Amino acid sequence: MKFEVLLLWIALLAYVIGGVAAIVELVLRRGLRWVIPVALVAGLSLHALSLGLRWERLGHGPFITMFEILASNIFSLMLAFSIAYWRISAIRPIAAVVMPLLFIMMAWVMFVHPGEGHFPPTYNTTWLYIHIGFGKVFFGAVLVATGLATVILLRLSRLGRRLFEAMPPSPNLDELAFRLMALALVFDTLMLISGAIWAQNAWGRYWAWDPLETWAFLTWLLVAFALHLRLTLKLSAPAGSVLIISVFVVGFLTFFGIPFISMAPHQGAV
Amino acid sequence: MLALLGVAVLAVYVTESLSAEFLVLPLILVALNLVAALIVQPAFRARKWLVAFHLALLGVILFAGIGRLVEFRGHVEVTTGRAFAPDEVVGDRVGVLHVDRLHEVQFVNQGFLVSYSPGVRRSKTRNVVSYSDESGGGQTAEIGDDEPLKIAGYRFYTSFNKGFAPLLRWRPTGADGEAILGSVHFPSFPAQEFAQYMEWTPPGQSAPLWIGLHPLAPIFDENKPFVLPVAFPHKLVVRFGEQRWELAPGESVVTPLGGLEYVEMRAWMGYTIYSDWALPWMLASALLAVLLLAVHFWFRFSRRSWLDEVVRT
Repeated sequence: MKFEVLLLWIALLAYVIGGVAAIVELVLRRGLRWVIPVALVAGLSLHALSLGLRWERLGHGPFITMFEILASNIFSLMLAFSIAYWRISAIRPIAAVVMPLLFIMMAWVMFVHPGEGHFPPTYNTTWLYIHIGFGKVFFGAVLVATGLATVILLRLSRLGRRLFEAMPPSPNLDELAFRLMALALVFDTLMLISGAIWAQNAWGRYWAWDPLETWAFLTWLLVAFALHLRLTLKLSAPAGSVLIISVFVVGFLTFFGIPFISMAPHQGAV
Repeated sequence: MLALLGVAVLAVYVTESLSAEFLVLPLILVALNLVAALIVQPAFRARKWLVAFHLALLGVILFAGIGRLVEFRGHVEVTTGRAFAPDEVVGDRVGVLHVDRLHEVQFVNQGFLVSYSPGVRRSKTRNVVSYSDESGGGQTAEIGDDEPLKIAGYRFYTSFNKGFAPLLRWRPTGADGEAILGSVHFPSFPAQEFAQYMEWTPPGQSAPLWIGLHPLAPIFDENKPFVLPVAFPHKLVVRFGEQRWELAPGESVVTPLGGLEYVEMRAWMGYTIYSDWALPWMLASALLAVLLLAVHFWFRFSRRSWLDEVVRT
């Protein structure tokens, strides 16, 4: 086993410890809150080192294989959540929701072969980094919004209200989730624009309705649709939450499902 | 309307019989809906940044539509050492309002190198071209991968499509005309490594000659890095009916159709061609739209904290 993969497994273990601590703290209140930031920082540090070592060894970033896509997105999503956890203390209990969501990707990455892939010549452009960077901010914002939306929905039950009683009222969580979705729309738009610039330079067309482009556009439409519905119909917090979770599901399928079935992020284009 | 557009996109995606043009109608409906909202909703009009964002979004749709009318998409193959010939361009999609300026394009394919990694995985493509700029001055540029040749409003992109091109000199039997120098393009290499042959009808003839490449040694080792095109020992096989000849570079043969000299082996590069003057305007509209959207959200959210009492506006 390569050292970088070992580091990744240890980082994932740290995330799992943090997630379990968040759940135990939420349910049993055993004073384990301090474990969460420690696990996040330790996990992110080891994860960054793992990605860096692989980048140095292969000469390109983690954008090619499913293993790399999953590993880099676990990192970026965990980083996005960590920033939210650090900066918005009132929502820290959502760690018990968000981190288990990422467990799915962590379990997935453990079953994917960590072998290297061929770096296509058209990926050798700054636009790749800009495009992917915008995408990571977009999905990071959607992830945190999804955590808030899940809390709003859980609060419809008595148990949920008891578990998350320390958090601000649901209308406020809904307002924050809406702001995060607005941020997501801006960065999703930037992701599409930068992707189109890259595609024009690389393949002589800015848009070709390949599976990933089509689903990325559908995701953008769904984000816009969710924001429009919330504003025009003045949706309740739970109804808005369902829309946010649907954006997360479609976004997840776009980011990870389409590359999974098409073998390359933009199949046929490389 | 957004939902309708989403359904239309899904329909185009899952149905092979529907082309992207099917999206024109829902896009027009979205645009009309937006215009109607601007007219009948004073509250919407009052949010100037949001209105400006939507107008910029309309600009994106407008310029995308104009682009479909004025665009040119095509492809052409150019032999190394030879000039681009506008007559050989194949138009794949030509907008009804496209103004053809291909005859203004002058460039020579001076040669290219395509690197391959072990496993026949294509890496970098570098293609040197010489061309005349708008002032008529000679220029040289290296294009390839993310870098097209931009000339006379067109973009010429190198492609994965390239191959070997034997340079031939043809002398018709009994004719007084001059010998004709030209090249034939074998199928794409290495994609069609084992189909390096073709039928070629010489100028002024009705019957074809069969021409094939006969390598005398492997052209590349798939387990090692290599670069194309590469010099390799070979013969050019020419067949007409039951007759068969093998020619080395510089050798000639007299076939029943005429004399054929195999001058040398060259290569050809397939270029994809793109032109759409509305594209920069569409990009500008898109960037303006996202900027205006960000400004709108900034002013909306900076007025008060999310922890304040929530008042829906």
